[in-house]
Amino acid sequence: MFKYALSIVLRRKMRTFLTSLGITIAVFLISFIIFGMQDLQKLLVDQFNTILKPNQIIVTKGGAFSMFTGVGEQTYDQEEQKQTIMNEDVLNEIRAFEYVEDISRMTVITGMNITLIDKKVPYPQAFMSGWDVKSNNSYFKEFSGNVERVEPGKIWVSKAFSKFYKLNDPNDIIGMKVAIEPSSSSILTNRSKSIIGKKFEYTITGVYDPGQDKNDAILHVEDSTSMLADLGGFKSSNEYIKEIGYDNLYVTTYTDNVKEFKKYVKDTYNYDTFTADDVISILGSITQGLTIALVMFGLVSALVAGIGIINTMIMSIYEQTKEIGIIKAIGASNTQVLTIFLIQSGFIGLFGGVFGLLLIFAVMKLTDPLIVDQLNNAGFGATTFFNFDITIALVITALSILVGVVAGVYPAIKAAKLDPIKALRYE
Amino acid sequence: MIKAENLNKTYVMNKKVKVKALDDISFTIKEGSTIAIVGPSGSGKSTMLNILGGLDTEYKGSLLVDGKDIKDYDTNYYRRNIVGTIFQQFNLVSSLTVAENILLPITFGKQLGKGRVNDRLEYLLGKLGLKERADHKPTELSGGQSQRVAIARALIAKPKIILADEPTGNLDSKTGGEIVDLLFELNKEEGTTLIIVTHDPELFNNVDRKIHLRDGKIIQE
Repeated sequence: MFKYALSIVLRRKMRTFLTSLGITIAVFLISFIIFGMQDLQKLLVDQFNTILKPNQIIVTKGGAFSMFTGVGEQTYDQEEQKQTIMNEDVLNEIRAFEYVEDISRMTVITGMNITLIDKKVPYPQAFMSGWDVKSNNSYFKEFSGNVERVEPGKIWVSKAFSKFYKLNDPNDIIGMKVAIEPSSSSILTNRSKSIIGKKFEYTITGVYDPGQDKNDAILHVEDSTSMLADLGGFKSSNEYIKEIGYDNLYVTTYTDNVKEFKKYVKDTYNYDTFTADDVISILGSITQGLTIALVMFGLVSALVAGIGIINTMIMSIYEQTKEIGIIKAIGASNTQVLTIFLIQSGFIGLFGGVFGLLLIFAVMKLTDPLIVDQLNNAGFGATTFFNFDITIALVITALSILVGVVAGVYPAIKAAKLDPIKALRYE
Repeated sequence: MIKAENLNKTYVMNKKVKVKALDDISFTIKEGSTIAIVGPSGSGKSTMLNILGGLDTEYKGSLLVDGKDIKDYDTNYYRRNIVGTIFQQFNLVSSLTVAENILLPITFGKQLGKGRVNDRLEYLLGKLGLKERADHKPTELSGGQSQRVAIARALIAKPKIILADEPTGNLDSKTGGEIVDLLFELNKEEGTTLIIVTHDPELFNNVDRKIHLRDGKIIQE
């Protein structure tokens, strides 16, 4: 019976092909979205996993990451949630906490120009930090320089910075000096008398690649706090830390204690924390939402394809009326006629689905090198982007068959109900 | 044995027009005999064939096949196992080969065991001179060959009754004659009851019995 049903579909090859093309387009769209989103998420997850290990936590006073970690709706009559300043006392308390393996301090400096000494043009839109980080930290995708930490009076600059000055070999830039001055154009700068004419000089001892992160220079923490104190009109960096505090803490906990640590800093200091897992889950929900929205568009085209199949199958009933009469006269039951029609429409779905998947496979193979090139230019360390997931492909194939079968139900019932005497008389 | 008692069939065209296609017909057909149903068009031949073929079940009266009313048979079983039909226009499925066309009734009913299907097919292909044509498509066959395929298809499941609707109507007289000879030969060999609706004198002169119909009534036997 299967062979017979198939022989009917293949009788009109062009029509079968054109009808299944609708499914092909829908499958192409849907699988492109699903595969693309999945691979994009995988790429971002990999990226975050190299920047932050699962037991590395960034503790922040909130603000920058609150959009990710989610701050509830607030009203004026709510009691202000007090946040503790990240000063030396807090630092020591957290360092002493039993789950903490290592801790480093971070400050964030924006609105400053960094210029390689003797060059006229400053590096634009610099984003700097004071950070007592080790050069072998997984944050750095690459590090050049014979130092373990950035020492006072020294600075590490990003690869982007050295490239800006066309010094591609890190050895060429190590040992050179940079000048840091308040930017006159930055929107982040408060024009204040106290900052006019301020200039700080440091010697480069390391060049690093921060991957996707925007971080152009790293100073010794004490240098950064004294710079911030100086710019802000504080008497000393001690006063700055006491009044303002550090911006972030970069904490490494023992592997199994991430949750407990996060809870501790939230409950004790009302600090937000953020780990690679947090970012990954946020990315996950964003890509998931986006995937669902885009797949909806794909489903609309699947619906249109289904209507195409219904149309073709109804036409096919008119063509096959006499034949339906014959097979009924020689003993085909209504159920068998129904099945024959469902096999036909299911085959159209299958053909469209497989063709769509072959097409997407070819497109993925052809465009992968180009996308990888683009990604690597943008700082991602990708070797492949598209991954053809067989399980998803099988699910999509099954769904294509299902669309065909569902679209075939109405014509199949119509065919099964044909009166054999009338059908035999049909010319 | 086939026994028809008081068969009545009325087509209701609309409220006012009713056409009596079969008017209280009764007859008995012996097993293994050959019968020709003859009569002008509109006499009720096709209606009778449809009822005998199990295609039309909306009639009054009773029709017993081997002592059992055909309404008591499962319709599909009756069409698959009890009757085999040969049409005037051959009615082969164009996308299937000769062998596949012959096997079509088996596809729906599994009337024969697996081992016996091939033997039966080989036998019929040989008997009907179609061995060389087994893998051909119907479009590659002559009229006579096509009708032989249709005969093989009607016989494959070893039915008790063969119904032939103008089997020579689309053939020239020579080919028609060959088909007539084949039908009678197979009727003897297989022991089937052969009921033919025909205008062809060569056919109705060789049958055991003729049933003349006019206006839904048997006017002469």
